[in-house]
Amino acid sequence: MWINGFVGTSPTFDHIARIVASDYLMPLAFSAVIFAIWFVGRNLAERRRYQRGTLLAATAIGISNLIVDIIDSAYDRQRPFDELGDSLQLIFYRSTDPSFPANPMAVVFAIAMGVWLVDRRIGWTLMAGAAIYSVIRVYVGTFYPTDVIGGAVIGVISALIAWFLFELLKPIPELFLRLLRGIGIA
Amino acid sequence: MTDQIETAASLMVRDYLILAFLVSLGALQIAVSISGIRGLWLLPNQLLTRALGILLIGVGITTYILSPLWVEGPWAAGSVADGTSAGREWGTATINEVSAARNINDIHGGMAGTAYAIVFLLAAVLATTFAAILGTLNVRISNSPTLSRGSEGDQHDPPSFRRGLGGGHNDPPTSRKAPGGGHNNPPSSRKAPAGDHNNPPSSRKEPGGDHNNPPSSRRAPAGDHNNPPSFRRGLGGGPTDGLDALKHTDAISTFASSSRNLIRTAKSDANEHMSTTHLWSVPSLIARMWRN
Repeated sequence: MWINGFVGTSPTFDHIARIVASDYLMPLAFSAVIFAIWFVGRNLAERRRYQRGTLLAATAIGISNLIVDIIDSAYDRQRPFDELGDSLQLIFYRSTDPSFPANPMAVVFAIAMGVWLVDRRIGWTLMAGAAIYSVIRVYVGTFYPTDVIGGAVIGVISALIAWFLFELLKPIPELFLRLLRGIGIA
Repeated sequence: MTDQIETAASLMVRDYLILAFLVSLGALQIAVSISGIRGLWLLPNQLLTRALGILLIGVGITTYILSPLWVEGPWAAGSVADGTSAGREWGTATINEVSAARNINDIHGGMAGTAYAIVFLLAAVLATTFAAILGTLNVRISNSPTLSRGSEGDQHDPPSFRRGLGGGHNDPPTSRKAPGGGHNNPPSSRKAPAGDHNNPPSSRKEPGGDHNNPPSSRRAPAGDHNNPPSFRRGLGGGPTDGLDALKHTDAISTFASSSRNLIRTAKSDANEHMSTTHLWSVPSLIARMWRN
């Protein structure tokens, strides 16, 4: 746990890490981005593309949670603070759910990949944010690096599955968007 | 102990709802300032709207993180420890504990992942509704004759926007001339709202500025004199429907007329469907067989 070994080196960085690793900040930021891109298109074609991205990301979140739940029910990996004991410096609370795969990483990478499929620039920015979130989660001691990598892979795969579903069932999201547009909110 | 966990949980939900509302509203303001959806702007100016969005996000996050300093909760000074969120006491936190104060496991009064998602959705809906209501007031105020004269210099205001909104159905004919006009519209297209029975047929075709739409999508269905022109072209098909309409009109007018239009279109679709499907019903097949 080389990354966690830096805990205590800089108290200021530890404070920042506790905030960044929290359950509220990064997931909220990612959710706000997919909420905002619903409205961001300057014309009809651009807005359709971005709104498709919002729907893709939301669907990808659902699929990633489903995959994580299935894996959790089959494989219960212990958290690093349970296995490593005092050799790990935990600066977060003790989570009680299985360590692998990292659910928060699956969610943020699902959002990032869902957005990446419609806008590379915003997508890469979100990917970078998700990567930082992953490293920080390992730093504070709640996950193994393999947990966050597993979560990231699940998130990316979920977004791709969502994309294939959208291509396969194209009329349904289109109809949904048309309906929302009909009542003035899309 | 259970009471404290429940109180802590409700406090966390309340605080997170406020945070998510402010962040959603801020993100919405930034987004609509980029796209020009004026019906959701909280302020009449584009740059001010964007600045307000950034400010709302900053204030929301800062307040949420720092509020344990002055709001009592499960983070009393001395009880916030690394490695566990159990055994917290009620009170205010110190500056050294503030970064960890809100990191509470859901079994100790924190929020579960599902709760975060639900509260965020609620906050996003509230933020959109709030922006729609305030945006409507903002649009109608800035659309009033005295104020619109004062904002002539604003390059972000399409001329039609200043004229068309507040008036709605009681406008004199002159104010109805420009429902869809942005800067890209040829002058001729600003004169002719779609589906208006008082206009010659040629003028019904092009109310808005989206040149990517096939001509069929610009055609006007049956004209409804109660609806603003931009909504007379059917469900979601036209360039000034949906959020595009909010560039030219306010949210409440958009929603009302869009809903009417949706119901009318659905009814006409249903009637059309019924009138054609009966040809394939069993009695009609038997009748046709009998005739043949």
